[in-house]
Amino acid sequence: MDDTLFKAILAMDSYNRGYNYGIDLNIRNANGDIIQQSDAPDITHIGNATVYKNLGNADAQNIGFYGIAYTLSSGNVVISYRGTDSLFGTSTIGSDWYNGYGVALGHPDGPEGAMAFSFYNAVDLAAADNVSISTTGHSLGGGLVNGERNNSLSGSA
Amino acid sequence: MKKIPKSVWILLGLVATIYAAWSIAYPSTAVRYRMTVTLETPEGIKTGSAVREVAIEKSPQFLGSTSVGAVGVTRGEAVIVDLGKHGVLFALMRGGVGGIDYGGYILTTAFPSGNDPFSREGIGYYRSLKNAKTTLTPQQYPMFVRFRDLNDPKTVEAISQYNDRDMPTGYGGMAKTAVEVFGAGIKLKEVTIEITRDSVTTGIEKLLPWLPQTKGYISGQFLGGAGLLNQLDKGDFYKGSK
Repeated sequence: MDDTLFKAILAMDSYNRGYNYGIDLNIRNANGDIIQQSDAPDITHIGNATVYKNLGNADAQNIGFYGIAYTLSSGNVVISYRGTDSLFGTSTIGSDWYNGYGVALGHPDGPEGAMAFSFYNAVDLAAADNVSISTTGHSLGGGLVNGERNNSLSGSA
Repeated sequence: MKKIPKSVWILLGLVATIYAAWSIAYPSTAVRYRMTVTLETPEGIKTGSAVREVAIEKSPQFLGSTSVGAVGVTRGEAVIVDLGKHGVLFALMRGGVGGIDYGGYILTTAFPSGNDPFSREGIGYYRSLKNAKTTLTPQQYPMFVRFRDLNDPKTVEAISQYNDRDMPTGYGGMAKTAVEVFGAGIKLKEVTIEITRDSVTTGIEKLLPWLPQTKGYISGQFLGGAGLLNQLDKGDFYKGSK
Protein backbone atom coordinates (compact mmCIF):
# COMPACT_ATOMS: atom_id res chain seq x y z
CA MET A 1 0.00 0.00 0.00
CA ASP A 2 1.10 3.52 -0.76
CA ASP A 3 2.92 5.02 2.23
CA THR A 4 0.89 8.25 2.21
CA LEU A 5 -2.41 6.36 2.04
CA PHE A 6 -1.40 4.11 4.93
CA LYS A 7 -0.46 7.15 7.03
CA ALA A 8 -3.89 8.62 6.24
CA ILE A 9 -5.47 5.40 7.53
CA LEU A 10 -3.37 5.60 10.70
CA ALA A 11 -4.44 9.25 11.10
CA MET A 12 -8.08 8.12 11.21
CA ASP A 13 -7.27 5.02 13.30
CA SER A 14 -6.34 7.20 16.28
CA TYR A 15 -10.02 8.23 16.65
CA ASN A 16 -11.00 4.60 17.28
CA ARG A 17 -8.57 3.62 20.01
CA GLY A 18 -8.09 4.54 23.65
CA TYR A 19 -10.61 6.77 25.44
CA ASN A 20 -13.74 8.24 23.82
CA TYR A 21 -13.29 6.00 20.79
CA GLY A 22 -15.53 6.32 17.72
CA ILE A 23 -15.63 2.64 16.77
CA ASP A 24 -15.24 -0.11 19.35
CA LEU A 25 -12.07 -1.94 18.25
CA ASN A 26 -11.65 -3.82 21.53
CA ILE A 27 -11.37 -7.52 20.69
CA ARG A 28 -13.89 -9.73 22.49
CA ASN A 29 -14.41 -13.46 22.82
CA ALA A 30 -17.72 -15.19 22.02
CA ASN A 31 -18.84 -14.44 25.57
CA GLY A 32 -18.44 -10.68 25.06
CA ASP A 33 -15.42 -10.32 27.37
CA ILE A 34 -12.67 -7.96 26.21
CA ILE A 35 -9.60 -10.10 25.59
CA GLN A 36 -7.54 -7.36 23.96
CA GLN A 37 -7.87 -3.62 24.47
CA SER A 38 -8.04 -1.53 21.31
CA ASP A 39 -4.65 0.13 21.77
CA ALA A 40 -2.70 -2.51 23.71
CA PRO A 41 0.97 -2.06 22.74
CA ASP A 42 2.90 -4.90 21.10
CA ILE A 43 -0.17 -7.09 20.49
CA THR A 44 -2.49 -4.79 18.48
CA HIS A 45 -2.08 -4.80 14.69
CA ILE A 46 -3.46 -2.78 11.80
CA GLY A 47 -2.14 -3.82 8.39
CA ASN A 48 1.59 -4.27 8.76
CA ALA A 49 1.72 -1.87 11.72
CA THR A 50 1.79 -2.83 15.39
CA VAL A 51 0.84 -0.49 18.23
CA TYR A 52 4.08 0.53 19.92
CA LYS A 53 3.16 3.19 22.52
CA ASN A 54 0.09 5.25 23.41
CA LEU A 55 -0.85 8.27 25.49
CA GLY A 56 -4.46 8.57 26.60
CA ASN A 57 -4.30 8.60 30.39
CA ALA A 58 -6.13 10.95 32.78
CA ASP A 59 -3.69 13.81 32.15
CA ALA A 60 -4.15 13.48 28.39
CA GLN A 61 -7.95 13.26 28.69
CA ASN A 62 -8.00 16.43 30.78
CA ILE A 63 -6.64 18.38 27.79
CA GLY A 64 -8.35 16.32 25.06
CA PHE A 65 -5.13 14.78 23.73
CA TYR A 66 -4.67 11.27 22.37
CA GLY A 67 -1.56 9.98 20.62
CA ILE A 68 -0.58 6.55 19.41
CA ALA A 69 2.67 5.25 17.88
CA TYR A 70 2.92 2.28 15.54
CA THR A 71 5.90 0.21 14.46
CA LEU A 72 5.91 -0.71 10.77
CA SER A 73 7.29 -3.98 9.40
CA SER A 74 10.35 -1.97 8.30
CA GLY A 75 10.99 -1.16 11.96
CA ASN A 76 10.25 2.52 11.45
CA VAL A 77 7.72 4.30 13.67
CA VAL A 78 4.66 6.39 12.76
CA ILE A 79 3.04 8.61 15.38
CA SER A 80 -0.64 9.48 14.87
CA TYR A 81 -2.32 12.36 16.70
CA ARG A 82 -6.09 12.34 17.14
CA GLY A 83 -7.84 15.46 15.87
CA THR A 84 -10.94 17.19 17.13
CA ASP A 85 -13.27 14.75 18.85
CA SER A 86 -14.69 17.14 21.41
CA LEU A 87 -14.59 20.75 20.27
CA PHE A 88 -15.80 22.44 23.44
CA GLY A 89 -14.96 19.56 25.76
CA THR A 90 -17.20 17.85 28.27
CA SER A 91 -17.15 17.41 32.01
CA THR A 92 -14.55 14.68 31.55
CA ILE A 93 -12.69 15.50 28.35
CA GLY A 94 -10.76 18.69 27.71
CA SER A 95 -11.79 21.08 24.94
CA ASP A 96 -9.84 20.70 21.71
CA TRP A 97 -10.66 24.29 20.83
CA TYR A 98 -9.22 25.63 24.07
CA ASN A 99 -6.25 23.27 24.40
CA GLY A 100 -5.28 22.68 20.79
CA TYR A 101 -6.44 25.24 18.28
CA GLY A 102 -3.60 27.59 19.12
CA VAL A 103 -1.52 25.61 16.61
CA ALA A 104 -3.62 27.16 13.84
CA LEU A 105 -2.75 30.63 15.12
CA GLY A 106 0.98 30.09 15.35
CA HIS A 107 1.07 29.00 18.98
CA PRO A 108 2.06 25.31 18.98
CA ASP A 109 3.05 25.46 22.66
CA GLY A 110 -0.51 25.15 24.04
CA PRO A 111 -1.42 22.10 26.19
CA GLU A 112 -2.09 19.69 23.30
CA GLY A 113 0.82 20.97 21.23
CA ALA A 114 3.17 20.61 24.21
CA MET A 115 1.93 17.09 24.96
CA ALA A 116 2.28 16.10 21.29
CA PHE A 117 5.86 17.31 21.36
CA SER A 118 6.56 15.46 24.64
CA PHE A 119 4.99 12.32 23.18
CA TYR A 120 7.22 12.55 20.11
CA ASN A 121 10.32 13.05 22.22
CA ALA A 122 9.45 10.15 24.54
CA VAL A 123 8.86 7.82 21.59
CA ASP A 124 12.12 9.00 20.03
CA LEU A 125 13.92 8.28 23.29
CA ALA A 126 12.38 4.80 23.56
CA ALA A 127 13.06 3.82 19.93
CA ALA A 128 16.38 2.47 18.66
CA ASP A 129 18.82 5.01 17.22
CA ASN A 130 18.49 3.80 13.62
CA VAL A 131 14.68 4.02 13.58
CA SER A 132 13.02 6.72 11.49
CA ILE A 133 10.02 8.43 13.14
CA SER A 134 7.32 10.19 11.17
CA THR A 135 4.02 11.74 12.22
CA THR A 136 0.50 11.87 10.84
CA GLY A 137 -2.83 13.33 11.86
CA HIS A 138 -6.24 14.48 10.66
CA SER A 139 -7.85 17.85 11.43
CA LEU A 140 -6.37 19.14 14.69
CA GLY A 141 -4.06 16.09 14.57
CA GLY A 142 -2.69 17.48 11.32
CA GLY A 143 -2.24 20.83 13.03
CA LEU A 144 -0.19 19.15 15.75
CA VAL A 145 1.94 17.52 13.03
CA ASN A 146 2.46 20.89 11.36
CA GLY A 147 3.39 22.38 14.70
CA GLU A 148 6.13 19.78 14.90
CA ARG A 149 7.21 20.23 11.28
CA ASN A 150 8.00 23.79 12.22
CA ASN A 151 10.45 22.21 14.64
CA SER A 152 12.01 20.22 11.75
CA LEU A 153 10.26 16.92 12.55
CA SER A 154 8.82 14.98 9.59
CA GLY A 155 5.09 14.46 9.21
CA SER A 156 1.93 14.17 7.09
CA ALA A 157 -1.17 16.23 7.74
CA MET B 1 -29.63 54.41 42.89
CA LYS B 2 -27.88 54.51 39.55
CA LYS B 3 -29.99 53.20 36.70
CA ILE B 4 -28.59 50.20 34.80
CA PRO B 5 -28.16 51.15 31.14
CA LYS B 6 -30.51 49.56 28.63
CA SER B 7 -27.54 48.14 26.68
CA VAL B 8 -26.53 46.06 29.73
CA TRP B 9 -30.04 44.58 29.97
CA ILE B 10 -29.94 43.73 26.26
CA LEU B 11 -26.56 42.07 26.67
CA LEU B 12 -27.74 40.07 29.71
CA GLY B 13 -30.86 39.01 27.82
CA LEU B 14 -28.76 37.92 24.86
CA VAL B 15 -26.46 35.85 27.09
CA ALA B 16 -29.45 34.23 28.84
CA THR B 17 -31.07 33.43 25.48
CA ILE B 18 -27.91 31.87 24.09
CA TYR B 19 -27.45 29.86 27.30
CA ALA B 20 -31.05 28.60 27.18
CA ALA B 21 -30.81 27.70 23.49
CA TRP B 22 -27.50 25.89 24.07
CA SER B 23 -28.99 23.92 27.00
CA ILE B 24 -31.93 22.83 24.84
CA ALA B 25 -29.77 21.90 21.84
CA TYR B 26 -27.08 20.16 23.90
CA PRO B 27 -28.70 18.76 27.05
CA SER B 28 -26.72 17.20 29.86
CA THR B 29 -27.28 15.64 33.25
CA ALA B 30 -25.34 14.31 36.23
CA VAL B 31 -26.24 10.98 37.81
CA ARG B 32 -24.75 9.25 40.83
CA TYR B 33 -24.50 5.52 41.23
CA ARG B 34 -23.20 3.21 43.91
CA MET B 35 -21.24 0.15 42.82
CA THR B 36 -21.07 -2.61 45.40
CA VAL B 37 -18.71 -5.58 45.09
CA THR B 38 -19.30 -8.69 47.23
CA LEU B 39 -16.94 -11.62 47.79
CA GLU B 40 -17.22 -14.86 49.76
CA THR B 41 -14.30 -15.55 52.08
CA PRO B 42 -13.63 -18.19 54.72
CA GLU B 43 -14.36 -15.46 57.29
CA GLY B 44 -17.72 -14.65 55.71
CA ILE B 45 -19.12 -12.18 53.20
CA LYS B 46 -16.99 -9.08 52.48
CA THR B 47 -18.31 -6.06 50.61
CA GLY B 48 -17.08 -2.71 49.46
CA SER B 49 -18.80 0.09 47.59
CA ALA B 50 -18.14 3.47 46.02
CA VAL B 51 -20.38 6.29 44.84
CA ARG B 52 -19.46 7.94 41.53
CA GLU B 53 -20.93 10.90 39.71
CA VAL B 54 -21.36 10.54 35.96
CA ALA B 55 -21.99 13.29 33.42
CA ILE B 56 -23.99 12.44 30.30
CA GLU B 57 -23.71 15.15 27.67
CA LYS B 58 -24.68 15.67 24.05
CA SER B 59 -21.81 17.32 22.15
CA PRO B 60 -21.94 19.87 19.33
CA GLN B 61 -20.44 18.60 16.08
CA PHE B 62 -18.74 21.67 14.64
CA LEU B 63 -15.47 21.91 12.69
CA GLY B 64 -15.21 18.15 12.21
CA SER B 65 -15.72 17.30 15.87
CA THR B 66 -16.48 13.57 15.79
CA SER B 67 -18.02 12.95 19.20
CA VAL B 68 -21.84 12.96 19.38
CA GLY B 69 -21.75 12.90 23.15
CA ALA B 70 -19.83 11.73 26.15
CA VAL B 71 -20.54 9.81 29.30
CA GLY B 72 -17.87 9.81 31.96
CA VAL B 73 -17.16 9.87 35.66
CA THR B 74 -16.50 13.39 36.90
CA ARG B 75 -15.93 12.42 40.54
CA GLY B 76 -15.52 9.06 42.18
CA GLU B 77 -13.19 6.21 42.98
CA ALA B 78 -12.46 2.52 42.51
CA VAL B 79 -14.40 0.22 44.82
CA ILE B 80 -12.23 -1.03 47.69
CA VAL B 81 -12.98 -4.39 49.32
CA ASP B 82 -10.92 -5.10 52.43
CA LEU B 83 -10.41 -8.85 52.65
CA GLY B 84 -8.55 -8.64 55.96
CA LYS B 85 -5.49 -10.88 56.12
CA HIS B 86 -5.99 -11.85 52.45
CA GLY B 87 -5.40 -8.35 51.10
CA VAL B 88 -7.42 -5.64 49.37
CA LEU B 89 -9.33 -5.88 46.10
CA PHE B 90 -9.86 -2.82 43.88
CA ALA B 91 -12.64 -2.66 41.28
CA LEU B 92 -11.36 -0.07 38.80
CA MET B 93 -13.15 2.48 36.61
CA ARG B 94 -11.98 0.40 33.62
CA GLY B 95 -13.46 -2.84 32.36
CA GLY B 96 -15.27 -4.91 29.78
CA VAL B 97 -17.86 -2.22 29.05
CA GLY B 98 -16.29 0.76 27.32
CA GLY B 99 -12.72 -0.23 28.22
CA ILE B 100 -10.98 2.83 29.68
CA ASP B 101 -14.36 4.70 29.78
CA TYR B 102 -16.00 1.94 31.86
CA GLY B 103 -16.95 4.14 34.83
CA GLY B 104 -19.41 6.08 32.68
CA TYR B 105 -20.55 3.48 30.19
CA ILE B 106 -21.46 0.92 32.86
CA LEU B 107 -24.28 3.27 33.90
CA THR B 108 -25.83 3.45 30.41
CA THR B 109 -25.25 -0.28 29.90
CA ALA B 110 -26.72 -1.38 33.24
CA PHE B 111 -29.70 0.93 32.79
CA PRO B 112 -30.33 1.14 29.02
CA SER B 113 -32.61 4.02 28.08
CA GLY B 114 -33.96 2.45 24.90
CA ASN B 115 -32.91 5.62 23.06
CA ASP B 116 -29.65 7.19 22.07
CA PRO B 117 -28.30 8.03 25.57
CA PHE B 118 -27.22 11.47 24.30
CA SER B 119 -30.62 12.37 22.86
CA ARG B 120 -33.06 14.58 24.79
CA GLU B 121 -35.14 11.48 25.55
CA GLY B 122 -32.11 9.48 26.64
CA ILE B 123 -30.82 12.21 28.94
CA GLY B 124 -34.35 12.71 30.27
CA TYR B 125 -34.48 9.02 31.15
CA TYR B 126 -31.28 9.25 33.20
CA ARG B 127 -32.53 12.41 34.92
CA SER B 128 -35.65 10.53 35.98
CA LEU B 129 -33.90 7.37 37.27
CA LYS B 130 -34.40 7.01 41.01
CA ASN B 131 -33.44 4.14 43.31
CA ALA B 132 -32.96 1.78 40.36
CA LYS B 133 -30.72 -1.21 41.12
CA THR B 134 -29.38 -4.11 39.08
CA THR B 135 -26.88 -6.94 39.33
CA LEU B 136 -24.16 -6.97 36.69
CA THR B 137 -23.25 -9.99 34.60
CA PRO B 138 -19.58 -11.07 34.74
CA GLN B 139 -19.12 -9.61 31.22
CA GLN B 140 -20.12 -6.26 32.71
CA TYR B 141 -17.78 -6.46 35.70
CA PRO B 142 -15.03 -3.89 36.15
CA MET B 143 -11.37 -4.81 36.01
CA PHE B 144 -10.25 -6.12 39.40
CA VAL B 145 -6.70 -5.67 40.69
CA ARG B 146 -4.77 -5.98 43.89
CA PHE B 147 -1.32 -4.83 45.03
CA ARG B 148 0.89 -7.40 46.75
CA ASP B 149 2.34 -4.38 48.52
CA LEU B 150 -0.05 -1.40 48.77
CA ASN B 151 2.94 0.94 48.90
CA ASP B 152 4.38 -0.32 45.62
CA PRO B 153 2.33 0.21 42.44
CA LYS B 154 4.63 -2.13 40.55
CA THR B 155 3.20 -5.08 42.50
CA VAL B 156 -0.19 -4.78 40.77
CA GLU B 157 -1.92 -8.01 39.71
CA ALA B 158 -5.13 -8.45 37.73
CA ILE B 159 -7.92 -10.72 38.98
CA SER B 160 -10.28 -12.59 36.64
CA GLN B 161 -13.96 -11.68 36.69
CA TYR B 162 -14.69 -15.42 36.65
CA ASN B 163 -14.13 -17.75 39.60
CA ASP B 164 -13.47 -20.79 37.44
CA ARG B 165 -10.96 -19.53 34.89
CA ASP B 166 -8.14 -17.13 34.22
CA MET B 167 -8.82 -14.39 31.66
CA PRO B 168 -6.60 -12.19 29.46
CA THR B 169 -5.98 -8.75 30.96
CA GLY B 170 -6.37 -7.21 27.50
CA TYR B 171 -2.79 -5.89 27.61
CA GLY B 172 -0.94 -9.20 27.38
CA GLY B 173 -0.68 -11.52 30.36
CA MET B 174 -3.46 -13.21 32.29
CA ALA B 175 -5.73 -12.22 35.16
CA LYS B 176 -5.83 -15.04 37.72
CA THR B 177 -8.85 -16.18 39.70
CA ALA B 178 -9.59 -14.75 43.16
CA VAL B 179 -8.67 -18.12 44.69
CA GLU B 180 -5.26 -18.11 42.99
CA VAL B 181 -4.56 -14.52 44.03
CA PHE B 182 -6.08 -14.30 47.52
CA GLY B 183 -6.23 -17.93 48.64
CA ALA B 184 -8.64 -20.82 49.12
CA GLY B 185 -12.30 -20.07 49.74
CA ILE B 186 -12.30 -16.58 48.22
CA LYS B 187 -14.75 -16.06 45.38
CA LEU B 188 -16.46 -13.16 43.64
CA LYS B 189 -20.15 -13.30 44.55
CA GLU B 190 -21.77 -10.33 42.83
CA VAL B 191 -21.43 -6.76 41.65
CA THR B 192 -24.44 -4.45 41.84
CA ILE B 193 -25.05 -0.91 40.72
CA GLU B 194 -27.77 1.37 42.04
CA ILE B 195 -28.79 4.98 41.52
CA THR B 196 -28.23 7.09 44.62
CA ARG B 197 -28.04 10.63 45.94
CA ASP B 198 -25.38 9.73 48.50
CA SER B 199 -22.13 11.68 48.70
CA VAL B 200 -19.41 10.80 46.22
CA THR B 201 -16.77 8.50 47.71
CA THR B 202 -13.35 9.96 48.49
CA GLY B 203 -10.25 8.90 50.39
CA ILE B 204 -8.55 6.22 48.27
CA GLU B 205 -5.25 8.05 48.68
CA LYS B 206 -5.20 7.03 52.35
CA LEU B 207 -4.76 3.45 51.19
CA LEU B 208 -2.62 4.25 48.13
CA PRO B 209 -0.58 7.29 49.22
CA TRP B 210 1.54 7.27 46.06
CA LEU B 211 -1.49 7.72 43.80
CA PRO B 212 -1.97 11.53 43.74
CA GLN B 213 1.73 12.07 42.99
CA THR B 214 1.73 9.60 40.09
CA LYS B 215 2.73 11.15 36.77
CA GLY B 216 1.90 9.29 33.59
CA TYR B 217 1.18 5.61 34.22
CA ILE B 218 1.48 3.76 37.53
CA SER B 219 4.75 2.27 36.27
CA GLY B 220 6.09 5.83 36.47
CA GLN B 221 6.47 5.94 32.68
CA PHE B 222 5.24 8.94 30.68
CA LEU B 223 4.39 6.69 27.71
CA GLY B 224 1.76 3.96 27.74
CA GLY B 225 3.60 0.76 26.86
CA ALA B 226 3.16 -3.00 26.93
CA GLY B 227 1.64 -4.70 29.96
CA LEU B 228 -0.96 -3.75 32.54
CA LEU B 229 1.48 -1.79 34.69
CA ASN B 230 2.20 0.53 31.75
CA GLN B 231 -1.49 1.09 30.96
CA LEU B 232 -3.13 1.71 34.33
CA ASP B 233 -3.08 5.31 35.54
CA LYS B 234 -4.57 7.31 38.38
CA GLY B 235 -7.74 7.84 36.34
CA ASP B 236 -8.57 4.17 36.85
CA PHE B 237 -8.54 4.72 40.62
CA TYR B 238 -10.07 8.16 41.03
CA LYS B 239 -11.58 11.04 39.10
CA GLY B 240 -11.79 14.58 40.36
CA SER B 241 -9.28 16.59 42.31
CA LYS B 242 -7.15 15.31 45.20
